[in-house]
Amino acid sequence: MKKVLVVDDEHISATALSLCLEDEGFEVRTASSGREAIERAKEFIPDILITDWKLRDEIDGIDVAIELKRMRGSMHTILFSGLSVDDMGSRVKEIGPFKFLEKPCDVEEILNAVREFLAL
Amino acid sequence: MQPPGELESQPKTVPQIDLPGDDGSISKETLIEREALRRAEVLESRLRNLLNNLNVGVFRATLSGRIIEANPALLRILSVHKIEEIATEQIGALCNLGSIDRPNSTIESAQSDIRLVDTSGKEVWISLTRMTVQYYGETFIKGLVEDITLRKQNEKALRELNETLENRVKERTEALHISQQHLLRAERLASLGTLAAGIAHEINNPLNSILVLCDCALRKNNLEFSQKTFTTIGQETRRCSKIIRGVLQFAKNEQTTKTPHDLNDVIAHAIDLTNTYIVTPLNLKVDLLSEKLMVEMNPTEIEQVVVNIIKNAAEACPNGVEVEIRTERFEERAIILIRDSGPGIRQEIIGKVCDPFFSTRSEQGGTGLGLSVVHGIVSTHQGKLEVKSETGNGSLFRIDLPLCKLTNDKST
Repeated sequence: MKKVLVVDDEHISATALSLCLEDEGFEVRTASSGREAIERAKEFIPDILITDWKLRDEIDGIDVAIELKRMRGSMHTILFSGLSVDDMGSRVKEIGPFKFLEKPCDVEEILNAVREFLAL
Repeated sequence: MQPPGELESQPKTVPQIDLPGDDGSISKETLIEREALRRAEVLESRLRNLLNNLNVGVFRATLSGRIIEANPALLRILSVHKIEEIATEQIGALCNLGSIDRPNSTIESAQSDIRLVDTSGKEVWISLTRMTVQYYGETFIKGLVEDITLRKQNEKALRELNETLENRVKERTEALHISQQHLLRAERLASLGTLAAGIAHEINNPLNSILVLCDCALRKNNLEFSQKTFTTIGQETRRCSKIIRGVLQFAKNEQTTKTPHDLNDVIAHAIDLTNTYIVTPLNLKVDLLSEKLMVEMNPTEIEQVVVNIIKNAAEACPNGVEVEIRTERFEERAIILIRDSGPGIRQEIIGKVCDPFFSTRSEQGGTGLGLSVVHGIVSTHQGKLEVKSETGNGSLFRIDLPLCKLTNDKST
């Protein structure tokens, strides 16, 4: 079973997404902050990271992706944000293979991105 | 010492008298007379010497404008070698010809600065002191002429310098004004960008939740799940609407209709509203003045002021906060005091808390509009907002609003 870590400070959206992912046959964990995500990833070791860019603490989604890539050597990341990808600056280049989704994005878009990564 | 080309302007008026007596001897009277003449001659010579060496031009002229006497200084000032060379225009100016109105008056003294142009076209400024004197039944013009060309040139140079300076100041001020306009525009655009980013972030988050929830409910096709989802979707929709209201309120910044209301009533209503808008546990202590505080206001806006300040404290203390709300009257002003037990505001940022988009909670979704809206509303109500705070000791917001005339009349 493929493992997905969903990181979003919007608790509702993280929970709803995890329910949909579980229905699709994934093993899912959620985290509401960058720090929590990194802690969780140490044991859970996800295949795919789905994270919001802006999180509540000083560690944002890009930091989480960079850290997980460092931990695992590579990390397929789906980044989503209410802001545009242009706002992220050059730091985004440090993360592994990623897809950017602009909020609001529907579940199907996210699932498609996940499936694309798994088909690789 | 006279400069070269200097001329004696006047022939000697005292003749040399040296007449012997009939017998060849010289009488005592003659000797006395001769001595007197010699003395007069010496005196005249001294005077002439003085006149010749004087830096001030001196002249004597008839009322018709014939110059009888002039000292070398005058000739030098007028750039001529002898009296006959003095131009008609110069004489006209010196003797004020054409306007000698009182030729018979014994003394008429006048001082004036006059601009002359000599034969070579050179400009000469003179300060002329002129008087008419009676001399053996005849009226003459006597004048003292001082060359003030240099002074006038200096004055002109100074005037021009001042004008240049004024122009430069004006140019600089204009340049400054333009750059200030550019800066304001840049600031406005930057603000607009920050505002747009804030709106995008704030609204896209709940919109995203709504969309994911919809998809999820559709996929689940479970009534109980759907009902829970609808409730959440409703909450998220209201959240979007609230953000938009906040932005509109901030962008509006216009005079709204104001009518007299009791500030205490409005605050009491605002406190009721906190139950709807604030989820953080609040321990509110309310102490409103029993006396009515009638203020010309838009009550919805004043409610918003109170709610925003309380909300600000609540957001800084997610585990709960104590807020004390008081109203007071000070002279013709109504005072609202809102004190919280929150973490306080650091001194280095206390001046910025009302700046639009300034937020210490931007990571947590703060748009930095709450207190700037408060500031805007208080300003349009001719009020004053003061924020006092110390790190660790909470914050005090003091709002001072003018009482309307109605209350004033009652109180007096």
